Amino acid sequence: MMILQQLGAVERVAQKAAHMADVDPHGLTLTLVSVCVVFGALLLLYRAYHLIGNFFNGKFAGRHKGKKDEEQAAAIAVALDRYINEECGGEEQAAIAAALHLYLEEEGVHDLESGIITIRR
Amino acid sequence: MSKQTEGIKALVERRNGAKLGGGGKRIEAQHAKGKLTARERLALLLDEGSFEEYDMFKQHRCTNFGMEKTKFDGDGVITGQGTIDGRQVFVFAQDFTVSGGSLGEAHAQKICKVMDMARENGAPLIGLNDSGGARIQEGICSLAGFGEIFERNILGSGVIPQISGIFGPCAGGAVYSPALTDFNIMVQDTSYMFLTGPAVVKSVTGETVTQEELGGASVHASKSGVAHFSAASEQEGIATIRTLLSFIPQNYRQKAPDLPTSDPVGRVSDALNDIIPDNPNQAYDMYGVIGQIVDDGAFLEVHRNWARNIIVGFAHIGGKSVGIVANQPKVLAGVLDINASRKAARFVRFCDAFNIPLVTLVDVPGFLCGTQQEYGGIITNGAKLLYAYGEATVPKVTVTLRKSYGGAHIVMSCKQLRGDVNYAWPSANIAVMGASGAVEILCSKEINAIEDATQRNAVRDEKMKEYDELFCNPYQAASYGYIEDVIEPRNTRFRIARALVQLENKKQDVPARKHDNLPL
Repeated sequence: MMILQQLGAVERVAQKAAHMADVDPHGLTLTLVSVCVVFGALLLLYRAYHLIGNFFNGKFAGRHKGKKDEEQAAAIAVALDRYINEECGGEEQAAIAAALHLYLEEEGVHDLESGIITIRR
Repeated sequence: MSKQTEGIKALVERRNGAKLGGGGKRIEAQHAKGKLTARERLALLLDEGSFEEYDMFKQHRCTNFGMEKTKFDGDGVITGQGTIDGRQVFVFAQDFTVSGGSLGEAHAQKICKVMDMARENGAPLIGLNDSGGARIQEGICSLAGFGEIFERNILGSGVIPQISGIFGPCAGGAVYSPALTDFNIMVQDTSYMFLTGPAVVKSVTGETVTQEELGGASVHASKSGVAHFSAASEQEGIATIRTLLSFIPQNYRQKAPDLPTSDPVGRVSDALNDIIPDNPNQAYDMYGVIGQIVDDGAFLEVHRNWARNIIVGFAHIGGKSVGIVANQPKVLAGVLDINASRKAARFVRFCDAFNIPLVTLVDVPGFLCGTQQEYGGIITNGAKLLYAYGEATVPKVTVTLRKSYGGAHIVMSCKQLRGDVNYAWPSANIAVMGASGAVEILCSKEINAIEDATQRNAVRDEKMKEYDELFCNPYQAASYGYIEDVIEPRNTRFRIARALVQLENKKQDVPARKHDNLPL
């Protein structure tokens, strides 16, 4: 009885499929495309949230800053070269070198302390 | 002229006569030797106008060998009290122009009086020694006098600071008083300390030696450690005494006075970030570290030329007086040996006795090995330093800079010896031993089984690297809580200063007992 019922169910599904093929020959394609669109959108959303999370975690900061530092350092170097050729004092050169050193210093190399003792006795 | 006026006139005349000591000729003789008189030394030592003299007219009562015919007011020693930078001190200064500064009954009684007063009033005692020794004519009374002085040195030990300036001969039994005091300052070329002089040495041992070679300032400052400071001149010696007092309190109940400074507590020292060489076997100068962390770079070193592999001395950090103990990698790689252990132990105990916090900078690869050290008792002497640190209840701040291996790690104020705040630099290696020694012990079978020399070396290097990563860093100790923090070197001054303020009200006890049994 169960086998007969199952056979009947399969036959009913095949009939419905044939009917659909007659009525809507592109239905299967459309279904597949729709599924892909949905999952594609989900994938894009996942990627977008991941990038946003990385942005707030500062993972892009170094790369971005490094590139900015390089461009600015290059500009400073060119300006410095022109300045040196125009005769500037040694003290000024030292000051520029010190400023460059401090500006180009990588973040996180120092363990920062408050430097303040707040205990009152 | 009234009787009162006559009396005053006589007093003034007698006082003026007493102030001349042995007389003008003997004063000239003293100057000719490059030495000051006792009163001149006191005038340099004490604040102007502060000195009050006691027992100026005291005389001996000896009648042996015609002594009753030669009596001097003061009996060869000037005693009293005064101030140094406004702080009360009790002093005695032996007068070599009177009977060679020899010590008899009355002389000793004068000294004992100011010693008692110093102890009872809680003020430092400063003795300026310049004496030919016991007054032979007074016989046993001279020896009794010395005994009374030594007993008072002992009773005052750890109660009041006691400082001895050796400005002339100090021979025979007389040397024990300076030996019992906290600090000895000797003057080059004019001061000597020895139990038996060159003449007796020659007759007993046949050895020919000069006074300078036997017991001069350079000898005791560099070989025996009897002298804590060696001054080029008496003026420098006296200035050293004044400076030394600025770091220590009046007595064991008080703290040393603060010294206000314009040097910021939060000053960072970038030089410290680069001071440790990349090569672990390369030395650096610990003075460079000390100079960066103390106020205005000012450091009064004790025992500068003795046991130079360890540095001890006084400084201020954040205005507070501290005692600094630091291994010196430039000398014997900073190892601990007999003399270094004794030197540091004595200093640590003095600081503990007088409430001076201890700052310890550690870079010690271990104890010096060898039969000389073992036969000399490095075990017992190392135990002295261990005991001193363990017993100390003053605030103890320790910074491990580089190596800290084995027993020496424990001895140098580790956490388990009740170290209060223990820091380490990122370059610190806190381990049982260094990588090469450890690998030799742990992997010798495995390494020696390899026939090919190149491969053997490669395996050894690999094992050493593995050991380095595992042990030769501060983080293993940090993971067990054996250090409070790993700090950036340039912040060391601030971290120490803050730790000292945090520990200002520290109270810690030792078990009640009659007294300890320090491994002497």
